[in-house]
Amino acid sequence: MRQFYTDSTGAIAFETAAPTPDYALITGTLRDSLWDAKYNERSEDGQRYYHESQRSLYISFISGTYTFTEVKDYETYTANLADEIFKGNWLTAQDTCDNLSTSGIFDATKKAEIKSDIDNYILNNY
Amino acid sequence: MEVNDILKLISLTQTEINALSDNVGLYFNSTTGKLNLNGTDMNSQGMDATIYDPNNVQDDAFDYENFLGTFQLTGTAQTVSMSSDRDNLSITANIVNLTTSSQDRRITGIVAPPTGVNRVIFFYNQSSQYRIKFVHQSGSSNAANRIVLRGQAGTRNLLQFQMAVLSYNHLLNRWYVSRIG
Repeated sequence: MRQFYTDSTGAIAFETAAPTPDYALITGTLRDSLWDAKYNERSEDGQRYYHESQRSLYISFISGTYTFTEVKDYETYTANLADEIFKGNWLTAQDTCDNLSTSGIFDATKKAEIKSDIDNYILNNY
Repeated sequence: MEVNDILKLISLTQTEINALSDNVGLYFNSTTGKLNLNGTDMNSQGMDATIYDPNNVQDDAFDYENFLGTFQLTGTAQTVSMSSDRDNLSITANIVNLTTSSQDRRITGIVAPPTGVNRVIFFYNQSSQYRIKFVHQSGSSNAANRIVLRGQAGTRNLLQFQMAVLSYNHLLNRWYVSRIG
């Protein structure tokens, strides 16, 4: 997992290990404020992803691909997963997605698609 | 000369002044915008429009009739194609249009102005789909070219129809970004 490091010039790096030559792990209040900002960022990204998903679902509904009942059932069934992504808890969302069995619109293809997006986000941001 | 003659002199039009046979003295020629001495305009002493109103705009900061006029940025806008993330970005214009056609792109730093020059740059994202991300204190750019962000956020996003103003602070030697809505 990535952490925050800083060097003698004040540069901040978010990496899995301290970059060379002189980066050191950040501690204390600076570390806390950087994590606060990071979770704001993760939440903003989660909201963006959630709204894109809603857009796609709604277009499918108005074009007749899905019925209102199917969409409603999907939203109810995936509510926890959506909530975790929306709040920026991508790691928890990954676990939730892994353990959520397929149902209705949330079929194997949809599940794989969401899991892939979450995996990619974690790979690049955690 | 009587009082009425003096009053008449005060209310003379420029045409009437030009027609006087005896126009000795110093006055402002409202036709040419220059000081006139003994009937001859003083070239380099007056308010030459080409110098004091270079844009020929009657309400801008250069206009001598409205010196504290409408603020405007001058010069041609610069377009920067964000084909990759940009470190130590060199910007010459005051207005910058950013384009990206494939994915979100990051700006980690902008070349700092020389000491004594307090540069202000307006950035616009012209992409309808992708974000431009300003990066906080990135080691990918030289220290003096780095950007600092509100709340020490890792990045701040610039979306379509948003504009960010960056100004350089020589006390901290970093670029500051106005709050992005």
